[in-house]
Amino acid sequence: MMLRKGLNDRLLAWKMAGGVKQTIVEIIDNGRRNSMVVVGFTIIVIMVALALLAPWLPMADPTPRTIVQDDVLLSPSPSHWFGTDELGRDVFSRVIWGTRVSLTVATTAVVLSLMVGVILGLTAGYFGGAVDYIISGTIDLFWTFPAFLLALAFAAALGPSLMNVILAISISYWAGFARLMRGQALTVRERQFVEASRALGAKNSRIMFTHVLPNCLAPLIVWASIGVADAITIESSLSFLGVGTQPPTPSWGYMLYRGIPYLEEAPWMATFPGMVLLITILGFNLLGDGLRDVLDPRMKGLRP
Amino acid sequence: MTDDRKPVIEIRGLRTQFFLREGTVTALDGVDLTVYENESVGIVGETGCGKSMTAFSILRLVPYPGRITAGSIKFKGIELTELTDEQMRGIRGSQVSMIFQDPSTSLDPVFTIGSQLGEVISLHQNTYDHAVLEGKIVDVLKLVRIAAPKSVMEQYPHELSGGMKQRVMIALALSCKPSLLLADEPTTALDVTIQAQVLNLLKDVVRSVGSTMILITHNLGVVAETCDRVCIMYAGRVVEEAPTGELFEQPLHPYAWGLLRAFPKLGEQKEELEVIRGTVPNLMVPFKGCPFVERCDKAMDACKSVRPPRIEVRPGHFVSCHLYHPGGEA
Repeated sequence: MMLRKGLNDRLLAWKMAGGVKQTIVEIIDNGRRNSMVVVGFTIIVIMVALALLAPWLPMADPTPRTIVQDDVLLSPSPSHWFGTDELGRDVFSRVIWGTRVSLTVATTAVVLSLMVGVILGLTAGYFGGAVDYIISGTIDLFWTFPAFLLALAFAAALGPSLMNVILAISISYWAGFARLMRGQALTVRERQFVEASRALGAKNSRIMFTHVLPNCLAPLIVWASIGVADAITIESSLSFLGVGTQPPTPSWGYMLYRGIPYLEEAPWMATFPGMVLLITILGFNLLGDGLRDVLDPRMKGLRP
Repeated sequence: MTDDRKPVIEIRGLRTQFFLREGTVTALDGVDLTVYENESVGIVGETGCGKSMTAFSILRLVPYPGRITAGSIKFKGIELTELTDEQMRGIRGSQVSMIFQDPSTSLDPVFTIGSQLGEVISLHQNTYDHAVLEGKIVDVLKLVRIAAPKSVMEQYPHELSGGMKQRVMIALALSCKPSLLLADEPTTALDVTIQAQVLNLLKDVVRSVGSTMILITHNLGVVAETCDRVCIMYAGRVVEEAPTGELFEQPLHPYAWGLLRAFPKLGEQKEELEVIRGTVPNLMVPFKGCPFVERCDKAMDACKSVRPPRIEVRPGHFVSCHLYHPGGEA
């Protein structure tokens, strides 16, 4: 009799890669023909490129130490595309640097809540029973509060710092992923190939991660994309309220807040960060919506 | 007749029950079955009589809230009901394998055939080298007579036909050369034209691997074609067990008569096939006597109160019916 202990990591990784590959191939094959996916993807690529290249772009310093009186509240011009703020800082430069903060916070928070949500949701949905009861109860508890209020409470309680903002967003957001994953796992675990792999000697952890999870990837990808948009909104709102990213680190939410008193005098101070914020969120939402259409047959009944 | 052969699996008094809120369902009630090396045994019966549950009980995969409450299952001398979960996993797939009814849902849609076969082989044989693994996968696919194993390896389940998928399932189940194969209605979901093909393949492959097969079906034609012995189940019990030829010529249990009469014979003119009157009893209600008593034409007083014992009427031909009891009228 052959007894084996533990999961073989290499094999697991190989199988997982296969499942991910299949889903990605499908997205690329069908996504190319979906205009929402193309537009959303293009916007995201541009934003990510700007964020990554920010230190090397020929721009003014977003956080100069000294205030130059002559540069205060200049309207948009060839030398300052988006104008300058009340401290004489270049708004364009600050918007681009703000992209870094927003994207980092949002993606880290989504990846974190995705991991927590997937593991808890998968466990709950796959095992059911008492495990499901406890995890579902916890999910519902978090789900009861509006995500933003929860994030606000945690951000305020944890104190303002970038890491705490990420934590606050993750805490308020993981329940959605967990719920989605649980529902998916509930349907997939009833399918015969799960029974078949059990009859062929696979253990629970293997079935969960190599058979159930890869079959749920499509809706997770859609949710993650829309989730990034939500996380950006939450991050900006927190910064707007002063419990998010702290000055002098440039952040869209805080720039909006600073722009309010100058709305009549210098409308560019709030308008440009707001527009970029809007376009970025639009990009992720378009991608998510488009992917939902592309992957739809699997979201409903899973494929035959 | 069978005593000189080595038993692969010996089931004694197996009872599997489901504990529901509404009551306890006794899905298997004292099943006795012995299967010897290199033979194929058919389990026949109508829906809900416990055919599949016998297979799931052997694998210890009785779905919740069911569990095996009594009896013993000895596999090559190992008592399966006493193994730990981990030991049991080592047996599933490598020693005892199962093929399911519907091949289109038994394969994971997101992985290629090669990677699914590779998973089972590497899991049970500790092979992780890609080249070796690929060789083994090709061998197994050749075994089930797939013409282009290399290209099938790269394909996804939805790209294959039903018959091909069932071949892959057979390959999957037999990839580790198990001693016992449980085939649960392996041809029911297939096109009639390829049923015979798959059955023949199954028979040949099982023989060439040196395995033993338990074939679960409700189709007596399949049994006649494939099995050495037949075991008829009714309401969670084995009511008759006999060599295939003998059962078709001289069925002993009234339920077996009914089954055979309900089956059309070649060259016979019948306007309407006969049916067995009544339906299967409710398994939630415990009964003392013979479960078939309500539908039996030969029912006696004893049938209602005394459980009919298993009698060996002829060598290798067992029946559980009061008609053949030494004191009964036969």
